[in-house]
Amino acid sequence: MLVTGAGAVLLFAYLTAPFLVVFVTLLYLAVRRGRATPRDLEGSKRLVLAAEVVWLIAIGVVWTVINVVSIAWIPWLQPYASSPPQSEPSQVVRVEAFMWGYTLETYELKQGTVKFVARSIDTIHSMTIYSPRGEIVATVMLMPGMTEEIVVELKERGEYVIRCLEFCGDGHPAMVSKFRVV
Amino acid sequence: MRLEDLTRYPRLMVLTSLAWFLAGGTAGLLMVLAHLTGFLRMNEYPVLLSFHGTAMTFGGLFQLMMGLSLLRVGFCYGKPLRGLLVRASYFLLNIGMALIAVAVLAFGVRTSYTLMFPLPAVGVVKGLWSMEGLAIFVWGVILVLLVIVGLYPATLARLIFTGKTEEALVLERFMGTLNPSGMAGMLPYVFIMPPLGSAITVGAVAIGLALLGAVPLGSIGWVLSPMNFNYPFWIFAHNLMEAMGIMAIATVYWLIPRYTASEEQRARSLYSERLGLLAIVFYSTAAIMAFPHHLFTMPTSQPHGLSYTGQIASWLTGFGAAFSVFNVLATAYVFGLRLTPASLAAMLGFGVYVADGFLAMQLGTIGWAYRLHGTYAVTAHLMTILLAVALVWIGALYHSFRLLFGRPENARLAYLHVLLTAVAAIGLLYTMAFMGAEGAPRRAYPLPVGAEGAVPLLVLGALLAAGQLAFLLQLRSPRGKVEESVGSAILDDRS
Repeated sequence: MLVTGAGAVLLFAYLTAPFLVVFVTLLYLAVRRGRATPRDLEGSKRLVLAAEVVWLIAIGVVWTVINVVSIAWIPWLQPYASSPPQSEPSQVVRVEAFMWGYTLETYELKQGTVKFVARSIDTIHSMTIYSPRGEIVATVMLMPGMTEEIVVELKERGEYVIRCLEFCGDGHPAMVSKFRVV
Repeated sequence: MRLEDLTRYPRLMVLTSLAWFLAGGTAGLLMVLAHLTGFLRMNEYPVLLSFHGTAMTFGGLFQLMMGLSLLRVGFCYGKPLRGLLVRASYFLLNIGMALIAVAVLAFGVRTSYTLMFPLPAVGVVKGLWSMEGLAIFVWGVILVLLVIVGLYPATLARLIFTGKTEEALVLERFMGTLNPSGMAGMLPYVFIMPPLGSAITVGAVAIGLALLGAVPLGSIGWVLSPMNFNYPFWIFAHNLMEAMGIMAIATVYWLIPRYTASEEQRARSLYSERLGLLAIVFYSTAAIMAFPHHLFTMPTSQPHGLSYTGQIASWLTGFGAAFSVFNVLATAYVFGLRLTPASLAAMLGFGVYVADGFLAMQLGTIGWAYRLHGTYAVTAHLMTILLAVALVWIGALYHSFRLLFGRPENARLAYLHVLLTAVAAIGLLYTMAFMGAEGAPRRAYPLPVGAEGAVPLLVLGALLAAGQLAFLLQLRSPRGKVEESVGSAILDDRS
């Protein structure tokens, strides 16, 4: 779940909502203390020092956990991160992107691991693969003159959609293609 | 020495930025309305998209930052804001923006605000717009680049490092380079933007000259290669956003101690100036190498090592921000905060900036970028960071309101302005982030996915517009006369 776009945004919401509540509460307290006498403000320094230590440790932990855990989500590492390591995918599909569409070598694929070899023939496009449930499986930016290869695991059967997510002119939102996984 | 020497150009920049904000904001509202009603054709939407992005970012926010940061340096260092550099910064930025607006609105050069190179050239080949339109567009970009990369940092450097302080113009004693850290936060822009923006500026000038026939197209082949163009572009564009963010953080470092209530705060410094400086240095150095996250999704062309460096550097900028969160909140809490429109705007802008930072770091994580890049989640991040920075500068604007306009602000209207802007910014952040989670493609019209997000976007956009309307009402009353004799009391009497 965490590796999907929806999971990422939910995590974002779970982290930022409490942050904003704490931020606004502290802002309110700071304004209240702004009306207090200087004597009332004494004694808060020890508390702030403790907060400093806790805060710095917390961000260190979050930093380490996410940067270590997320390594397994990197598409170009996934074939090697799985146990046992996957062999070279048997299905290879060449994709050509143009203003405003895609040409795929084949429009029917087997369930499993697929290597997409994609390029653009005119301007910057992307090849973003949406699963039958509408989740983004992976996105690849295609710069003219360069060829990108990406290995993805197509777990579900059904119709997958390819869309361009890099602005490429008037027909950008209509740049769509589909393929079926059986 | 006249006080007008300090305020003329900043006031012009603030008012001109307001005009760009209004024009760009209107385009933004029309875009959202089009998502709901479908009244635009597919080739009309990108015109508004390109105009909205350029007007808000460069004509609006960059110009607002330029005016208020120069004003701050001017009245803290006691140096007048006049001369060729200041004039050229103001006029070239606005002439450049006018050329871009003409190219977009009259010639239909619709590339979005990030260029998407080689789209500008491909558009001519495909007959989407004309070569004349492209030449106007490119020369507009060149003028704006010259200001961003050269004239503005040079003006800041001249004010900070050279010239004699005129005591009559020192309205707040806040001098120094590394201490106070609120001033140190201006240095990353001065020292980082010129070298990191030079390559793209040279490339743009080369293209501009080739379009005029002054140099043969073959001689600039290197810059026309999309890969070659996009690296200097992102090194520049990414670091521009970071430098603007660091400027905003430095503005918070400057403003918040000015509104603390404690007697202890005579020195008007942060809870920890050392932590403040550490945050600025940490943030600036980490940000330089964070740019590869814009190109994470090129798994073959971008070296994996560069991508991973980009991820780690992106997360390290979060450390800089985390130091700042602690320092700013500790300053406000320990010493107590006086509530004014200026302090509220600076604090809320800072809060929005940090909240957006969580999303920024997710987008800077390779594994997540492959699921979110190109969606509305990225728009959420970009729009929010710009709104957060704008809110901080709105704080600086209210802090200097009397100096700029010769009379105090109407507090009720000012609070309305600040609160509506902050609520809209947070609402837009969450709405667009969730649209991104659904896979809604950014810069697309009509929206094939996530179209239901258009209703909240319109409501929040209207709130944002209402906030800016409150500021416009603020300007209805005639400008007062800033008495030169009481000039030095104008800002100090608030503290």
